[in-house]
Parts: sequence; C-alpha cells; structure tokens
Amino acid sequence: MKIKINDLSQVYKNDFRALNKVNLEIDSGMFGLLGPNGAGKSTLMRILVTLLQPSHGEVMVNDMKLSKNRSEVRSMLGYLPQDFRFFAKLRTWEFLDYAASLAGISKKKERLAAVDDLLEQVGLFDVRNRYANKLSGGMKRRLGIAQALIGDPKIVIVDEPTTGLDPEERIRFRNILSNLSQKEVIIILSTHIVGDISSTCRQMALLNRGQVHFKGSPEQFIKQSEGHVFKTNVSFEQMKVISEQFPVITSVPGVGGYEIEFVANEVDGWDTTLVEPNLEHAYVYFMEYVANEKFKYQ
Amino acid sequence: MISLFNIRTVARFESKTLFRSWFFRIFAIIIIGFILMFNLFGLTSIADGGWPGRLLPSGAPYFNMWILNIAQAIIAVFLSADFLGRDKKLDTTEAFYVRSMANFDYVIGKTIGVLKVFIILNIFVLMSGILFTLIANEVAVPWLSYVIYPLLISLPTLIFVLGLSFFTMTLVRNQAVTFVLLLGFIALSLFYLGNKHWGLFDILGFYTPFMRSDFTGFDDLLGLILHRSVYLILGLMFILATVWRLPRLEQQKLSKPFLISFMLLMFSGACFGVFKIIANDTTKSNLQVHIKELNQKLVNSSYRIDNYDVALFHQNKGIDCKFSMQMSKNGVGNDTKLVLALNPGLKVTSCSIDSELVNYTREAHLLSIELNSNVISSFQLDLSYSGVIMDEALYPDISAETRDAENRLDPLLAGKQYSFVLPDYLLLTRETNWYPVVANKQYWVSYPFNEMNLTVHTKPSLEVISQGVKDSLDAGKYQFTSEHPFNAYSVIIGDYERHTTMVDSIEFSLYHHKEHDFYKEYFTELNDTVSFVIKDIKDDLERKLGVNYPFDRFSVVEAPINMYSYLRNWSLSTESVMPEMVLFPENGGGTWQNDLDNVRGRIDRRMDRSNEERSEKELQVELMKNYLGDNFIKPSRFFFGRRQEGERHVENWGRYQVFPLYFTYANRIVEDEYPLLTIALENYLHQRMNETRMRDLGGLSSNDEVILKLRNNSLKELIDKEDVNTLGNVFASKGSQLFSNLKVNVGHSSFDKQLDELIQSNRFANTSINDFNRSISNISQSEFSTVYSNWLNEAYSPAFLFSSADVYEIKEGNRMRYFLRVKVANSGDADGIMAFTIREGMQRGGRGRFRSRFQMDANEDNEQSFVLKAGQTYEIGFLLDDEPREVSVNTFLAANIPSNQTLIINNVIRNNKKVKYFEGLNEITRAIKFSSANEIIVDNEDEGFSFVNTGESRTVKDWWVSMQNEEEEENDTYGMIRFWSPPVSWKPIAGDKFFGEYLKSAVYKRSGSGEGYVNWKADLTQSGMYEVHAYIPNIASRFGRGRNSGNKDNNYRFTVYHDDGEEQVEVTVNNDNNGWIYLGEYYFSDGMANVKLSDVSTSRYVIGDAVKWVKK
Repeated sequence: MKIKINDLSQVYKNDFRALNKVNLEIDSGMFGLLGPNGAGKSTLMRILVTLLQPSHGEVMVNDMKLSKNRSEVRSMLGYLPQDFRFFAKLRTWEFLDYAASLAGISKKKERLAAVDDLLEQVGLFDVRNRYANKLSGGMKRRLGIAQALIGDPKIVIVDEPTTGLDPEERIRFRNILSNLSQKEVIIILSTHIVGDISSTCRQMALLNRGQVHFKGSPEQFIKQSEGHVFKTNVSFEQMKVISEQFPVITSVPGVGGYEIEFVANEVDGWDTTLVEPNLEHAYVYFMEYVANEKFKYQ
Repeated sequence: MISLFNIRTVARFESKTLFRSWFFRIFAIIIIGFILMFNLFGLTSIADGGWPGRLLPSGAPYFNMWILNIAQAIIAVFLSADFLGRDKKLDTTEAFYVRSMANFDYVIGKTIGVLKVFIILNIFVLMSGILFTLIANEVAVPWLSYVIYPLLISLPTLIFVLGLSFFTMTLVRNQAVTFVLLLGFIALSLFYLGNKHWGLFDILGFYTPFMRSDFTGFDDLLGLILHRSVYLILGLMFILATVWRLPRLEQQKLSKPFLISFMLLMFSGACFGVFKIIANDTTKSNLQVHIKELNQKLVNSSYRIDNYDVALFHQNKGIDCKFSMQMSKNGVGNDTKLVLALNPGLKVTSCSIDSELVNYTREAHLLSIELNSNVISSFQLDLSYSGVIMDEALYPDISAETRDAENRLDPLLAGKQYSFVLPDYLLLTRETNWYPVVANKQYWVSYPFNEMNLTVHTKPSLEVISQGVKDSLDAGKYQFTSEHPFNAYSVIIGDYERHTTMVDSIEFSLYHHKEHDFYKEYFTELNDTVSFVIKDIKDDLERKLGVNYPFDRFSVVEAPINMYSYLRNWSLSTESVMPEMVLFPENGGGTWQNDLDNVRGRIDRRMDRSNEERSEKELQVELMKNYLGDNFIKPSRFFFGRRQEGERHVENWGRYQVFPLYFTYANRIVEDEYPLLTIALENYLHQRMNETRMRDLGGLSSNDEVILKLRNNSLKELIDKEDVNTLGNVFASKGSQLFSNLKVNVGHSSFDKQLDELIQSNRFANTSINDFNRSISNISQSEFSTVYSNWLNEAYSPAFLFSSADVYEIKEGNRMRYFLRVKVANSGDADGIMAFTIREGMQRGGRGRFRSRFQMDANEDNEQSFVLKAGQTYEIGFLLDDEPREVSVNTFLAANIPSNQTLIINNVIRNNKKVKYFEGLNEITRAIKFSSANEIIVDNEDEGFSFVNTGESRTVKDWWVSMQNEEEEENDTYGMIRFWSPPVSWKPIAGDKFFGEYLKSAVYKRSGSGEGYVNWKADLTQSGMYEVHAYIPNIASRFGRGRNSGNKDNNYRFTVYHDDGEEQVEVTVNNDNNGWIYLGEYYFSDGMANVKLSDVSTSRYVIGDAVKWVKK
C-alpha cells in the first residue's frame, strides 16, 4: 500500500489556507502526523478520507487518483473522526453491524462474527447491548476504532484518537493500533500528543500552518534536536528570566529553586549540561526554532 | 453503482433508529390511540352513537387514511427534517460517509427507512379498520379499498412531504426554520388554499374526493391518479434533488448530470400533470360558457316531439341509441332547422327524416337538423348515436363556485358525478340529455310530457330500472312501456337486489347493492307489515298534501355515493328524484338519521325513559317510519349543515323527498318566461306539509329574510335586479302567498279541494297558461291574471299592529268555554292575510334534540286565516273549548318581522258576564296605536338610538368570539341570539319577544366593563314631568337551560339624564319583572332627553331595546 500526496492545497472560503502544497509519501505501517492545533492535520485527514475535496493537488492511492476513484478508495478505508461522541439510537453491536454492512460484509453470519470479534478485541463485548450513546468516553473511542477497523480496511485513518482519554485507555488504544500495524496496512494517526507517535510510528511528518516541516522517522526527527536540549538548576528568580529566554520543557521544584530542562540553539552564561533528546524535546525544539525560523525567512 | 444492499442497510438502520425515537413513538401512540378509539367507538358503535359514516362504502378505510394522512404529514416533516439535521449533529455520521456507497444509496436508503416506519403505521391503522369493521359485522370489508387508499392517499403525500422536507433542509440547513416553513406550508394548504387553484395545493388529499362507491368505484379515477401522481413525482424529484445537494462527495463520475436530467424529466412529468389538470378544467369551463351562450340564443321551436321509440344498447364502452321520434308542428313558424339538445358526449351516427337522410350539425349540446323546404306538419325523425355522457356539459346554469364546492359527507368527501356509463353500471337521468329534447328557449326549466317506449339491451346478469311497465323480452333485453307521458326518463342498470311489495295497487320496490343488506337485521319482524307501514305513511302524506300519488310504481334505487344533483330555483325536484323513483345514496349516505343502529338506540332509550312496554315489532315499525319519514317525506338533518349560497336550503329539506313526484313530475303549466306560476303552485303545495314551527332562538326565518328583500321591491324588480339563483326563498314565500291570498275569497277548504282536483285532472299534460288561468279564476272567483300580475309587479305590503289577546271565561249553555279576542290593524298599503294558530289545553309530548320530526301522531294545528284590508282595524274572536296556551300569528309577507310570533295572552277574565263574544272578523273604528299621544317611544330601529362599542377585543377569547361572529353573520342582518357566547360588540337580533312596531328587534352584547353602552335620545316638545320606562324583553325564561337558569335575576344599569342632573337606576329583571320597566319620574325641559344603558351587568349579556317617556 502506498499513498502519495502531491502538491495538496486547501483554501477555505474565508481565504484561510489550511494546507499549502503538501507533498508526502506514506507506506504501509503506522504513520504519525504531528502538529499543533490548527496545523491542518484534520483537513489533510478529511481530504484523505474523501470527506473534503482539495482545492489543489492530488492524492494517489496505489497509483489511483483519489478524486476519480472514491468508490475504490472508500472501500479500503476505515476512519475514526476527531469527534466521535454522538450516536444515533443504536446499540453498540448494531452500530458495528451498520459499519460492517457498509464496509461490504454482506453475509449476515460473517458480519456478526466480525462484529463479535472486534468487540472482543476492543473489550466491548460485555457492553454490546448497551446503547452506544451510553458508553463512557473511552469506550466510545474504542467503539470508534472498532468501526474503523471492521471489514479489514487497507487504510486506517484516525484523527486525534487519544484526546481526552486517561493514560490507561490511551495505552490500550496504542496497543490496538500497533497490533494492526503488523499487517500490510497504512495507519495514519494524526495527533498533537507527541507520546502517541513515539511509541508506535515508524514514519512521521510534522505539519505546521498547512505545511510539512519534516518527514521521516521519529529517530531522524529526534536527531535534529541533538545538542539543543539542556538541563540546569535555577533559583526562583532565575527561573523567571530563563523561561522568558527559552522554552522550558520540564521544571522540577527542588531546594531553593528548580531543576529544569529547556531547548535552545545556543546557551550563553548558564551552567548547563546537555540532555539526550526525546521526541517531545525534538518537537518543542522544532516548533520553536526550526519551524518558526523557516517562516521568518519565507 | 447503485447498490441494493447499501440501500437496504441504510434503510434498515434508519427505520430502527426512527422506531426508537421518542418523538415518533409519542406521535404514533397518539395517532394510533385516536384511531383505535375512533374505530372502537365509531365503527362498532359499542357505546351510544357510532359514526354514521361507517356505513358509507369504504367509509372506514377512507376515514382512517384521511385522519392518518394529516397526522403523518406532520410527523414526516419532523422526522425527515430531522434526518439531515441529525446527520449534521452526529459526528459519528462521518464514519459512515467514508464508506463506499453512492449518495443515491444513502438518501434513498434513508427515505425507504422513513417510509418503512410509516408503512408499518399505515398497516397498523388499516388493520384496525378491518378488524373493527369485522367485529361490527354491518358492512362488508371493502378489501380493495384497503389496498388502494394507502397507495392513493398516503403514499403520494408521504413521498412529497419527505422529499420536500429533505430538500428544504439541504437548502435551509436549519432544522427549526425548516419545520416552520414546512408546517406553515402544510397549514396554508390545509386552511387557506384548500381546493382552490384546481386543488393543486391539496397535498393531504383533504379536499379531494376519494369516496369509493361499491357500484362504480371512484369519481374520476384517472383524474385522481393524475392529481396524486403529481405529488408522487414531485416528491421523488425532491428526493433526487436531495441526493444532488447531499453534503458528501459523490463517488461516481456521471452521477450529477444523470441526476439532474432525471430530475428535469420528473419535473416535466409533474408539469405535464399540472398542465393536464388545468387544461381539463379549462376545457370544462369553456364548454360550460359555450353552452350557456348557446342557451341564451335559443328560440322556441315550432315543432314538438310527440313520442319516442328507443332502443338503448348498454355496451362496455358506452351506449348506443336508436331513436325514432314522431314530430309534429306546434305553431305557425317556418323553421328551416330543428334544434335538439343532446349530450355532447353522444356522437350522432345517422339522422333521417321519414327515412331520408338529412344533414345535421352539432355545436356543443345542440343538434341542428336541416329541414326540407317543403315543411310538413308531422314527420318521423330517426336518430342514431353512441358514446358516453359528458358530465362537464351538465348544469350550465349552476355557478362555478357552487359546482366546485365540495360534496362533503361529514367529514369525508364524495365526488360529484351526474351520470354513470360503465360496463357494469349505468345511470342516466333527464339532466344528462341522454335522449334528445327540443331545445326551446329555457327548455331546461320545464320539460314537456312525452311518451317513450324504451327497449334496453344489456348484460343478462344486470337489473334494469326505468319508467313504465317492464317486460322481459329476452336475456338482457327489456322493454319499458309508459302508461302516461312523463316529463323525465331515467335508466339505471346495475347488479341490484330487489324487494317488492304492493300497496294500494302501487308497486313499491327497493333496489339495493347486493352487499348492502345491513338494514335487514333491523326489520326482521316486519315481513308482512312493511306494506301497512308504507300505506300509513303514504296516506298521511297524501292527507296533508291533498293529492294522491300519480304513478303506478315507486322505487327507491340505491345510487352510487358519488352521484350528485343540484337544487334549482324553478323546482323543488333534483335529479335524485325521477318519475316513479328516488335515487338514494348508498347505505343512506352516512347521515345520522340513516344510521339505523343509532336511531334504534334512541327509540329504545326513549322507551326506557317513559317506561313503555312495546313489542319488538312495534319498535321496528317506529324505526321504519322514522327512516322513511326522515328521508322521503319530511327530511331533517341533525348535523350542522350550513346553508349553501345559491341553493335553497337543500341541507334542510333533503334531495330525496318524494314531494316532486306529486307535482313536478306530474304537472306542467306551459309558461313562456321563467315558470313563476309553476314555482308558486309547487311551493304552495309543499308548504302544506310544514307545520308552522316557532323559531325559539330569534334571528330571522327565511321568510323574514324574504320580507327584508321585498321591502320596496316587487318580485319582478327583484328578478330583474338579482340573480334568480339567489331567489329561491323569495319564490317559495311569494309562491305560497299567491295561493294563500286566493283562497281567502272562497274559503280555505273549498279552494284547496278544487285546486287539488284541478291539479289531479291536469296530470301528465302540458297545460297551457290560459287554461290554467281560466280554471284558477273559476276556483278563486277572481280575475286570476290580475291577481297574478299584481303579485308579480306590485311592491306594496300590508303591515299589522296587534294587541295582546284578551281571554274571557264564558258560559255557553251549561258548557264552560273561552272567548279569545285580538285587535288587529292593517296599517300597510296593501290588503294582507294573517293566520292564527291557537293551541289549547296543557302541553303534551316531550321535546328532544334528536326526536324525529316525523311522528305519525303529530297533532295537527288548526290554522285560521283572515283577510285584513289596508287601513282597517279589526277585532278577531275565537271560541275555544279549553283555556288557550299559546296564540301564534303568521303575517306571511307583511312588513312584520318576525312573521311568526306568539301573542301575549292576558290573564283570563272570569265572571265577566257582559262580554259579547263572537267568532271571526269584526271591523271596528277605533284604531290601534303603536304609542299613545302622551308618550314618546324610541326603539332601537329609530333615529334617536345609538350604541357605542368597547371597540377592541381585550382577550384572545374576545378576539376569537368576534372572529366567529363575523364569519357567521356576514350575510345576516339579524343574527341568532347566542347565550353561550354573546358577541363582543352590539349585534342586532330579532324576535317576537322584542319591542318594535313592525320589526321586533333589539341589540345585545356580552356584559362588559361599562365602556360599551346604548343610548336613546328623544326630542321632547314639551317641558314637564315625565315617567321614563325602558323595555327589557324577558328571554331568559324561554332559552335558559336547566332548572337553575329558569328564573335568574339580571340587573341592568340605566342612566337617565334629566334637568336636575343624572340618575343611575339599577333594575332587576326576571320572569316576573320584565317588559316595560319603570325607571322613575323626572323633570325634562323641551329638547333632547337622553337615557343610557351600560353594558355592565351580572348577566352574561345585555339587551338594549326601547325607552319611552310618558308625559304626566
């Protein structure tokens, strides 16, 4: 499976440019789309799932034009929208049954088997007869992923799936996705939560203000910020000064001050030690220095 | 690609969610509850009074669908606008939008889902209709109707409403606004547009006649299908438009152009339908206009038809007729053409005179046959034609408004068909012009008597009904030979069940649909009694009418429910009555009085109340008498039938009464102009059947309205001035006046006896006007033509003043008797007659709202009339055996309103031995004065009277009441008094309890805050002390319901303005204190005096009538 995004732009009616000449290639496996709120992630997702017609550019799915082959692409899709809270008055299993029917499982027996199977997988089998609206937030999300996964989709697109979930639910969610990534499928996960990507994705892209600022593996992404993450101890007074100068990532209060981590291109006049960067550091570094710099000179 | 599986899936889940939606559940429960209750009580009539419409053919399914359709249209608006709104609200919808399916699949799936829910609702409702019809076991279940009605009524409305609301939702994108728009549109179509604009806005089928006859099915099935498919197609188009407008990317390349072209196709289909409907209607009205124009140009022909010899072939596609007519010359004219009237749907195939083919032309309903130059005095005309009857050509004289009015059978709608030509059914009446008549000037108001020998060929299984002696010649071949010439011929062919009995050597037959035998169980004991019952009724009617039944046969023939006929002003007959027969609607037409179960229930309850012991047979006899009487003799209606403009009170007298058989279809006076004499005579005879009934509620009787119309107008002037179609009541009142005037010369009974003989001896003949004049002059011992001409051309009217009735107890021999004396003055400018009816002794018999008016034991009132010369004053005396209870007078067309009033009876004077009693009329010299010399009376009709209204409606209730009043009283100057909801502003009322010189009237309004008042002003010529009196009529005692309201105190607040200021006078009025009430004695200087009555009262209403100042 391969998705190729060429020169994709989306301009809304109010002239807001949500996407600006986005080029991406996505191969099988889990793909993370990272970016701050309003970066254009959801717009990109909605274009990919054929809910939105792009203003410009084309998406190729397995060398098929998306705009011309919606039917074929849709039959490969599983999609979990960003908001997934309000259901029609259907029971949990009926909701899945509906999705399964539309996903093309026409034989009733087969369909019910698939429904039960997925309900087991996402741990909703016990509440299968409960109305979907009555499920808890986490359960709804799981039902959401279940409906996205039903019918063996080749492309699974999940938009901000972990927002508002407690850590336990979040981990369970990641596990379901990573189980899936063993197969020959593309999973696109859009998120502004860095942790979602670090633990699961082999490929990622960073989207900011409608543009792709980075594409590659998470490791490559982290590498960019090597030598730019520092650690130091500061007093209460110094804390104020330093946090005005640099983005502070963590601050742990100690005796007479804080132990802080921050990112910077260079540090002068502070007694710092370098820290091995993680994805979060890289993200902040990137957003603060690389992305904004780029913008400045554009 | 359209995927059936996807559609089914979407539909499955849509209907599932709908069924679970509380909105739908509540609505469905309400409507099902209502319909179940209705079906339970209405169709099975387990409790008191079922719905009489259940007896209508297909009444149950029609009503169920009719009610359901209104409710479901509203639910559908909510549900379908909800679907797109819900899609927008539910973020989970997007998960389904990305699935591989066409937008078409999705929208169609949703639509089918919604439809499925409604179909189940429909099935449920229809099943309950079937179930309860089966339980009631009165009428057969019309299975086909249960299939057709949902398809014809429910489905198109649903599809249209669904499509429209889907589409509106995609445009407006706001659920609330969509609701308002659509519900507004539905309300508009229901309450305002109605059946206007060719019924094109009748989305719900509320104004479309869907009544399905068991004989002939729907009125204009193709028209109905056309009309309903316009909605269906438009609905489908809107659904496609929704597919087009669905906010989801389409997944097919060609779909949009495809969709739009399909929509265009549907739109043009709908447009074509609309065009067709309008075009049909235009053709119809053009034909009507054309016929009207042609009719105006008609001149009297110098030829007449002497007899007909007809062979009628009833074919699948129409009728074939072969006519052979003997024609002869009437007058001296030299016509080159013979103009006949024949229905334009019948195409002439050959026409010959004395076996020689002749040329003819047709224009609309006229057939003009060229006559040879050598005009002969008699010849034989042979005419062949075939085709079907064109209903559109009938009744050209009836206004379009009346023709378009619905034929509503509370609450369902029947069609208006005037004839039927179907493979298994045929109904032709005179109006259809199925046989040619000479198209003389105004030929349609008075048809000549001609003989007809008719041979009918039809399917052997069908029954043929027509006038004359019937002989069966062969299978499916019948001959009818008339014993007399008739002035109307009808043919009815159908699959009938026939019952016959002989009464007084007249053959009485009942022809009804084979399944319509529910009546039988009510008359199980009557087998051999039926003829006695009929004889009783017949004798009673003929005793009242004074003439006997002219025909040898009488048949009641059940006619299709969609058959309709109009009442015209020149006759009391409609096409529902034909010589020898009455065409009665299926199962009685679903009226209250024809619901045997209901009537029987009433009879039983009355018996229970009065503790009478009566056998089943007696009860059945009473039921039958009620049934026959209420329909055929003296029809009455219990339902709120409103008068129809331009028609005489059809609703009140019924189109099935047999009266026309006694006169209209047996007698004819040949009149050149409008047949006024015939009308007068017919009305004179007809009113013999009426007892004078008091109008307890005030307001104007139709006679009173006529008096108002005739004020300063002669009949001739009225005819010239006004559309004759609105003068039905004038004809009726003036007609009976003419003969009532004639009879006083020679005495009531002598005149009537001779008139009856004249009528009977002139039967089945075309009596010339001169002959008739001569005979009437002889009978009345007067110059009839002068009387007639005065009656027609003079606007004078008598005006009566009368005193209260004095009663003296007298001794005649050793018998105690009573002498009653009334003084009457005729102060008008013409002689007039006045009829007295005196009821003696105690009142007998009960009164009840539902008591049939047709009671065989009705005591006949003794009416005595007197001629009172203009300018004279009389004393009229009566000798009575019992104390008088009620004296009522009828002043006919005198200036007095109301024309029927009861007189005040003074206390009986006993032991007055000096009184000179007498009987009859005594001229006296002392005039009766309306007011004495020393008093000044200001009545509400006088100049000095004025009133002030509060002006505005303070509450919604006020507004509502005033709206209703306006609606009701648009045409009536003097309304009925309404105690339960008195008007918000002063309204005039008339009645004999009010004060007035000739017009007894007052004004009344609901009691108020004092802002509203009435004011009497008098110009006093002399200064001095005056007694002031106000007239307050006592109406409470007559109208109060229940015991408590019998004698209620009502207080009135008067203000008298006099020289020393003003005086508030509060008076209490009740049964013992009313009439002229003394308000006090005051000093007034000459000039304007003033009395005011405030609308503040403890009573619910205040009546302002008259005030008088009496000089001391």
